[in-house]
Amino acid sequence: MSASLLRRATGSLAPLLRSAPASHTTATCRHRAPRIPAFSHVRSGSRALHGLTQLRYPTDEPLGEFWSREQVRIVAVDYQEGLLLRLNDEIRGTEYEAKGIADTVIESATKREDALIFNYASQALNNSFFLDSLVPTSVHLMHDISADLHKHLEEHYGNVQQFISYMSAAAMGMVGSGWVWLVIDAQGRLATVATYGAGTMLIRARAQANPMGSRDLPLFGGAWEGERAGAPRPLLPRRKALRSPDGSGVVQLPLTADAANFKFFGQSLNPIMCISVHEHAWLHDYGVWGKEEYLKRFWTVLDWDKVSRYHRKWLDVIQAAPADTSKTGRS
Amino acid sequence: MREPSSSVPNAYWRPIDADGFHTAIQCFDICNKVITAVDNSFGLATRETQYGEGVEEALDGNQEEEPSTFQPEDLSSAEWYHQVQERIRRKQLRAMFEPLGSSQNRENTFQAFHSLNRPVSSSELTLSALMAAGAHLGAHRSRSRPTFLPYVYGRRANIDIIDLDQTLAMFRRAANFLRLLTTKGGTVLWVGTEVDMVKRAAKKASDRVGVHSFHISDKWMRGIFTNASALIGPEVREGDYLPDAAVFLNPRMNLGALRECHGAMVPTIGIIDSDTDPRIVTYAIPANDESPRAVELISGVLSVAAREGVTEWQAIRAREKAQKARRVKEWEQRQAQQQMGPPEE
Repeated sequence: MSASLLRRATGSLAPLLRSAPASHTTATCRHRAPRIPAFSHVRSGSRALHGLTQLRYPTDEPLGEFWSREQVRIVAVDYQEGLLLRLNDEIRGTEYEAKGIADTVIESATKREDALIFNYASQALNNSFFLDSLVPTSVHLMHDISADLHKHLEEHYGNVQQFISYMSAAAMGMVGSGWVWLVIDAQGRLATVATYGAGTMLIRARAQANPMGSRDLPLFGGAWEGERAGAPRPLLPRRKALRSPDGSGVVQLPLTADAANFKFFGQSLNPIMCISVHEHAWLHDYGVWGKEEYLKRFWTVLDWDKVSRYHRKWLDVIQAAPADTSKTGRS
Repeated sequence: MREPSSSVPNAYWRPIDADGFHTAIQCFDICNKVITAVDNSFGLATRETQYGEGVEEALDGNQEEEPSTFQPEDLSSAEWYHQVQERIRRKQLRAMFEPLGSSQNRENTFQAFHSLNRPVSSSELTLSALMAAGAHLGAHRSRSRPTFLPYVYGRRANIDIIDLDQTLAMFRRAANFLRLLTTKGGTVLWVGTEVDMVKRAAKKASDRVGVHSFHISDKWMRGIFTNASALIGPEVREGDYLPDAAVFLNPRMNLGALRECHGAMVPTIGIIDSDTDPRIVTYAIPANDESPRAVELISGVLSVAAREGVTEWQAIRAREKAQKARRVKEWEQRQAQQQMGPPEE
């Protein structure tokens, strides 16, 4: 007891030699103070819990043409740190104390009593993912986009500019807070998906993406030959109406989809990048109605290199999948 | 699999699998039937999905080992491939998001498997770590051994409680002995038999030391030390086949092996529980030998000590080699100079 008090008081991590022993008794008495200091080079005492991560850019400088210094501070420091502090308050003494954010999200997603923990952790994770894909520059980094991603975007959206306007439109159309993600599914199709509130892409049932009962769908790649040429949308095969994974509505297929695999359309959505659709992200610099300008300028600071790397990682996972095209049609 | 109860108030919150992800096969049968999923009201205690696949997080002690490629019989090949693919995808998803969010993540917090896979150095081992691993819980008092009494702190709940102060001191002595031994280039043998977790700990400890380290986890061949030439062949008599120390993770079950070590004059280290005589080994470590975590902790830290000695030995050898090379070079230079010298004079 005394050793640990001393350790906390001195604040040093060096091993402490014992001061005067508590009580000298005969050697046969077992109930005595510890003779060997139970020191450790690991800091003891209260655990630090969650804290801010180091970003690739300083949080006290403007971010290119996108955010001013104050705006960067609001999102990257005030909001993020506030989330983590509130999360720390919630998890102290619980099983989540020693977990990372990703594990906290996954495990608290299933428990209703941990909804607040999930909300804070999910928002912290999404915000961190969003901030991590930004880079301070005033130059468009479009040339950093990889050939694979460029080709893939062209396949699904016509060209990269159309993809940008499509995704921005998805964000524009959102009322309320959320995140808009670029995702890739197990068959390698790109799509734009929105999660509302504190929805996460780690747990499908907690995507909070498509309110049940509505006809809103995951927004899959909108540009296809038929649309451009003005032809009517292709009808789905009549024998089986394809429903979206959450059972909310009929999914519209781009022609580019592999028809044989449509049964497993969008079964696993793997995120590549996201946009934060929160008022605090544009309020200071662009005003309450500055969402459009914010979305326009977002693309100037997006790190396409990082996005391409995530895309590459997912392609590797998809292509490394054991190709088992049996009767069930899975691949 | 159970049908979701009608008490689910909001269809938005679907009950989901124990491991937190929709099973993909279910997703696309919903046009014809109700979404069925395992109710996760048991939280982490429910380990099996409908395919009998265990949850890989939190309850498995060996998170850092490669997943086995075992395929259960009740799964068809296609379903198995799909499960494998899903697992890879989830792993990638976790890996992608792990470093994000906060400065605290899985890498820099204590996880249950760290005592097996990431043991600390012997100077960093604490009393509380030993206690958290349950090393102080001795055997039932009916099996209490009189010669172990000096190491007993007291008795509670019908078991002997081991005095961890003494354990720590004796442990450090054993660790220092191992370190000194491997610094001199000595061989260590890790013995852990009969119990799965002990076998695993022995193998892992041996692998961690790397060079000059061996393990026996299957069966101790009787006579392997005392009668080696008969069991292996006459050529071993000329060789140096005995280890310089043997570490027993469950000495109570290896009394014959200990007797052989004694006969062959191999010093032994052993984890001695309160139902074992501590005199059967040279360096006793009084601790609980029935708890997996305690055994993993002790064997891990001992192996780290041995590893430190090996590193030191390798450094010394490298230094000596460099010195020798330098001396040889100098001598050669001097020879060359001498040859050229006399004609100049």
